[in-house]
Amino acid sequence: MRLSKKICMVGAFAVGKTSLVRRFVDSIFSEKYHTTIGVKIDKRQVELHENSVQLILWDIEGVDIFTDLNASYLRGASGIILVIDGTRPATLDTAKELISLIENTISDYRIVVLFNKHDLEQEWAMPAALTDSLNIDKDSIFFTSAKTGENVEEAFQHLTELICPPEVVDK
Amino acid sequence: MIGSNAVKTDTPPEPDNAGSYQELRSLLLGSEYENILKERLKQDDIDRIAENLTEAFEKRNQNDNSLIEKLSPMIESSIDLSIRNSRSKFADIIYPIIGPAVRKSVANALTEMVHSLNHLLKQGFSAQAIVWRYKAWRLGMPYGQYAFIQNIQYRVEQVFLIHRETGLLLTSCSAENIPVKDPELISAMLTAITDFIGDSFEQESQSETLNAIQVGEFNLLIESGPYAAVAFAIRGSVHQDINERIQELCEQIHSQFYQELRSFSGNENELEEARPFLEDALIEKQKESTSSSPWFAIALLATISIYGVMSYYQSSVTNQKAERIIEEFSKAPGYQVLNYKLESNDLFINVLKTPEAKPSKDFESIKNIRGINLTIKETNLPRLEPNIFLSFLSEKYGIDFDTSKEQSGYELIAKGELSKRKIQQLEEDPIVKSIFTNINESQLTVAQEKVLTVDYGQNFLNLVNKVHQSQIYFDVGTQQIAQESSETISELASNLKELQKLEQLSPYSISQITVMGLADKNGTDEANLKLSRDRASLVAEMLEANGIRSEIIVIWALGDRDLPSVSLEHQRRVNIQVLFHDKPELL
Ligand SMILES: Nc1nc2c(ncn2[C@@H]2O[C@H](COP(=O)(O)OP(=O)(O)O)[C@@H](O)[C@H]2O)c(=O)[nH]1
Ligand SMILES: [Mg+2]
Repeated sequence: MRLSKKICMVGAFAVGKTSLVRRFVDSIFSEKYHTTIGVKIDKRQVELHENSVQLILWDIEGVDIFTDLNASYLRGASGIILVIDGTRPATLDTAKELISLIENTISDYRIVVLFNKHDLEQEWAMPAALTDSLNIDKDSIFFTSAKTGENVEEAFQHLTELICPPEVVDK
Repeated sequence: MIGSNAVKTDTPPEPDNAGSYQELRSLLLGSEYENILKERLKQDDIDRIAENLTEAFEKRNQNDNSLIEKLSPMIESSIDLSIRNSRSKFADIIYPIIGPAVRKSVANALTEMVHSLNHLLKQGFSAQAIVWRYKAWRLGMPYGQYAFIQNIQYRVEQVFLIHRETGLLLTSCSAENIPVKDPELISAMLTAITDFIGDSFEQESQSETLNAIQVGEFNLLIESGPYAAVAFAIRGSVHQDINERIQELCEQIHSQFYQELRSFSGNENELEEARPFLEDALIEKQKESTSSSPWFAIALLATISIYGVMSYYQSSVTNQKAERIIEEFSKAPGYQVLNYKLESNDLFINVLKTPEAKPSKDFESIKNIRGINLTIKETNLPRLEPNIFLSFLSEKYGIDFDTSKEQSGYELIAKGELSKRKIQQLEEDPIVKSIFTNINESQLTVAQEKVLTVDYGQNFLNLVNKVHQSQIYFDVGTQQIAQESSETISELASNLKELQKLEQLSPYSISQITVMGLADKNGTDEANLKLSRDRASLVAEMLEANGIRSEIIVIWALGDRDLPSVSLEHQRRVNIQVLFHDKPELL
């Protein structure tokens, strides 16, 4: 069976959404700072046993204020990847606001939370008390780095398993 | 006495005969009178309340919070309701506030996505596309018009069935020999584009949602039903036949596959059976074939540069009229404007024309022409000759070309000085390769390659970095730029100006310059927000005054945002964020 699923990248400005997609889709990371406004769409296939799942990744581009202008961006999403910058605690607050926006906009979706830029040990500003403050299942929280690739595959794989029906996941 | 008489009439009746008085009143005046009387009393009440309402509210409000508690849900739901009822009105009100930002974001999203869409659609076109493209180029006309010359009025080349909710592709198909690249992405992009436009410019009626986009040489037509949307990629014009066909197909799919559409969960085979319906929609219409026309002095015509006369063009009423005429020519099927020239009131137009094209005297803009002396030079479309490429090649490579006939075909003679890279490009030029049997380079000299090449892209990025690092600090509680930052601001302005210049040369294009104002932790949120806006506006004004395009500047008041670890004098600042994107490659 071949499945297709819509996945949305969400999170504050410059937390690493685009970099994570690039890492996941093209296996690269670029320091080059690059922002546009709009939506970028990419895809990648994930294998689950004999089945393959095609993830259509919607990456919203732009600044925080634009995120809430685009509820239609979320429409029909099966999976949400919520990204927080581990070096900027304020992005956790944005994430909390986004969670409630998402809850009010769509239903029937699964979410994973990525504390990104985990490679920046020196600047890491996210004590356990903060990461635990989210009302999200522990298994669905990942400490990632788009730069080193840490946990990026794992996070997408986990989300894929969450959004697929049980007969596809456990074989 | 008149006075006492009057008083008497107005005196209310005695209690004992009140009943009969009322009876008489209703008999004489009917129930209408009763109603008026009641209304009247009610009106008095209303007047009385109205007189004291404000004070009553005020008083109550001083006592407790109950009014606010009672009113706010009412106000909220009435705002909700009015937004729902007249979205566009609200959009109008909000628009001036978020307008510039939204407009930019929409424009950007569109150009970026339409660009990548075009790219995807085009990649799908195989060898045939190259042949067509080359032939169109040979005629020096846009690809779309080539369709007409090819006697094809229109052709539906790709059909997509898209799940509306998720934007996922249900199934797709394409005309023979046309592989479709990444239909899944095209499907999602189309959904995003239509959503985006739908959201940003709330349309009055549902039926008016965007349904046609021009993407390069394609027209994309989208018909949305409740569960799925059908999209056609059409080469040529969107003919009424196609409009009907797409509506029909959309309805057909909804009635046949209603269950499958409703329960679609991402399984790619679920709608496979709809594909034959889609295939039926790959229609095309041929024009009646026409005998080929005699061929005129085309070589002469083609040497006239298309761009040469643009400089005469200045805006005036006459120019607008001329512009309309030219526009009508360029849009009309079967016409190709080679050049035109407007001198005072004399307009000269030089066009290529297919024999079956509608006569130009029937053009709307020409029928009621006044104040312009129009001369049209029409040349019926000729057959192809290598000569006609020479001027185009000259323009492309900046040297002279000639051609001579050989047994096996035509030889291209290049004359002049070209860089190594350009020579290689010329040798590999697919168009040169397909027209000429060989290139004669005996009259060609190799130019010295310029050693010093400037990496404009890198310079652009470096400059952006510099701009991002500039901090403009302010004095406490004011819009006054701190002494230490007076130099920074002028540096910033010149950097941004330089960036604007570099934009032309670099592969990037600036979408927006965001001026972010901040205030320190002291003071109320409200005051800080205002202060931060004032600071950002001041900087924005200064930038504008220094030649930064105002339409790309967006002010963003952030109030106080910093962590306590940032010192107060550094919290009072303005930062600049430059948003930019890759320029679409030339197609
Ligand atoms: N060190 C480090 N930098 C990152 C990482 N992910 C993103 N970045 C950088 O953070 C900035 C913002 O990234 P971007 O992907 O554009 O964020 P977006 O706005 O959420 O899409 C860029 O300069 C990236 O190079 C990461 O995992 N580690
Ligand atoms: Mg991004």
